[in-house]
Amino acid sequence: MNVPLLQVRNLTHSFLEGEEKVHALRGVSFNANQGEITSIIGPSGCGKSTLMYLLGLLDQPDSGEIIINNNSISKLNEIQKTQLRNEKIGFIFQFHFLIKELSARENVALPAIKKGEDSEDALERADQILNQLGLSEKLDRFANKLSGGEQQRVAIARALINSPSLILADEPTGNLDTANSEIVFDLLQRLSREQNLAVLLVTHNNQLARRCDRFISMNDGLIVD
Amino acid sequence: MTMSLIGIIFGISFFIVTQAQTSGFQTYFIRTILGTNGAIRISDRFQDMKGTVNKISKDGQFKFQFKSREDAEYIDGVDYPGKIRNALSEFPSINGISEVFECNAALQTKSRNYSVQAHGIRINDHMIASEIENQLMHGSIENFLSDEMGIFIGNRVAERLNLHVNDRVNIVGKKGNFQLRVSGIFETGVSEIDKKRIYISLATARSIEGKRFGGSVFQLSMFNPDNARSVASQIQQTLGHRTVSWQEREKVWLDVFKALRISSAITVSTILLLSGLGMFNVFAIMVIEKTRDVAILRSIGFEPKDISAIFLWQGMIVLIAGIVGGVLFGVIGTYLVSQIPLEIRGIFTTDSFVVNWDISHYIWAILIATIFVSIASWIPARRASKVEPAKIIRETI
Ligand SMILES: Nc1ncnc2c1ncn2[C@@H]1O[C@H](COP(=O)(O)OP(=O)(O)OP(=O)(O)O)[C@@H](O)[C@H]1O
Ligand SMILES: [Mg+2]
Repeated sequence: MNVPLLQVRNLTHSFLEGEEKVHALRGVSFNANQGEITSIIGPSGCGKSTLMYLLGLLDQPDSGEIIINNNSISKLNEIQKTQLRNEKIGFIFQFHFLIKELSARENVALPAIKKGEDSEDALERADQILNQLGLSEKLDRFANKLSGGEQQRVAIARALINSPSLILADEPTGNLDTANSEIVFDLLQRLSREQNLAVLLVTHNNQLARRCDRFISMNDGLIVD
Repeated sequence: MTMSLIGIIFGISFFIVTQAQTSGFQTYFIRTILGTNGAIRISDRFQDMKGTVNKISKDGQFKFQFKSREDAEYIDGVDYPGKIRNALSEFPSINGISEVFECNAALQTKSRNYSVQAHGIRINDHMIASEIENQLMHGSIENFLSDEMGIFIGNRVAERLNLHVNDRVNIVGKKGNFQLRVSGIFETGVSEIDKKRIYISLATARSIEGKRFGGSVFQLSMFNPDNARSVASQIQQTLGHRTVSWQEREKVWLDVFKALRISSAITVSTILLLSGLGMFNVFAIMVIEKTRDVAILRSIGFEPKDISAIFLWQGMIVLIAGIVGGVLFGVIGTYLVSQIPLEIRGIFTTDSFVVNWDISHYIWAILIATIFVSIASWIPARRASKVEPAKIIRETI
């Protein structure tokens, strides 16, 4: 348990904006441990989301290394990465990103079904998680018929269903009022402790950030202290 | 998508119905021609006029020898019908053998004179080598058998000369004339035959032509006429007589039917092509509308191939629905068309649309639809699988 779940080494990433190169990340290194919630704060455009997409294996870094569970992900092929994303990483976005043609429970069950679980079982487990998150009344609601806070909790449930070890949350409370933000934050904190998850939480809310176990501050593609 | 589905259903069913018609007429024509003129004809007539004809003298008898460009030799006249008959019995694929003596003649009634193609036959042999028994509209084989002076006439001949069964008619040939009695009136369905041909006994035919030996042709029927080509060439090699299969004999007509079938297949396939294009459009738009969902699915661990599978599935469902509907309407349409009363008195005679039920039409229709739909769904599906999730998520926020 001494080895951190996530190790990030000298990560860089840039975008081509026409002729010009935009350096979104200029060498970011940090660790995140299981059972801890780590917050990442910084001004708009400092590269927080870019970092999250790299950690979520949705994008390729220019250089640097991401090590999850002692395995360097640069050695993985696309299929292995997709599998890792499915089984070990849970994603939560600012805008809930649910599929609106599906009900809450179906949205939650999707990653488990993809993993190969029987869809009946997956839906049953989805119900359990949604119950724990206080959504027992809304299981069959279509995603677009839920409030913002409810949708965000459904997204959290979806991130949890495959029992990941890493949760990447990019401004999950950014679109919510104070009360709902509290609910979502408490939930993440509780989950990190109870299920021994490493949670990375990007937020603009300094107060929430300070309540986390660890606290990373970014500016202009670098970590500042 | 509904429009594309309807288009596919229409395309498939049209394809089936038009093929059933064109090939129906073709099959009808082939059956008629096989039943009338047989699968193989062994003759002595030269058709290749680019060859040279020599008159040779052997033992005081004159014979014509024909040298074609291929250097094949043909002797005028089947001199030894018995030998040929024996030799032919060695071919197991041959069902019936009929010796036919053909000549031109004229039928005379009180009021008219009408030229015909006389076929001298032995009715017992000819019954096996042809469908003459089924082609008889009036009269009977027994009539012909019981009367040496019997004659079968085509129904159009009968119409022109206003002849009925048991009527008397004069036949005038090169070297003689006889009074005959109509034993039957037949209809083959092929106009050219029905208005020109008559059947008389072999002996009568020889008498009016004044040729006691030789000069006859052989008409053969086969158990499986599809093999006529190869059997004909075998016979030609063995017997040294010009032997022509029905496929060669009717090549012009068969080519016409083939061209008809192909052109209708191409025409109807454009319906399927257009439906495919419509479907492609729908899918392409769907992919654009669903990029967000695609990005979500990718972010929760779906692979590109899972994404394309979703779109391919939709295409498959439309395709399967289209095939089921198309085949159903194709069957119904073919049946309905076969019920349409239609009087054709052209190359052949029929009173309703002739259709041919053939599984290959269905297979072709399904194959063409499958190709178009597959392309129409595969390209958008591929595009969907190429969606870069990070980019979409970033742009959506
Ligand atoms: N697709 C892109 N093309 C070019 N530049 C980009 C692209 N995406 C992001 N950037 C740039 O990269 C930098 C980092 O962007 P990023 O989205 O990571 O910021 P952020 O910290 O998440 O900001 P916010 O708090 O507003 O979400 C910004 O300067 C942004 O303009
Ligand atoms: Mg961001």
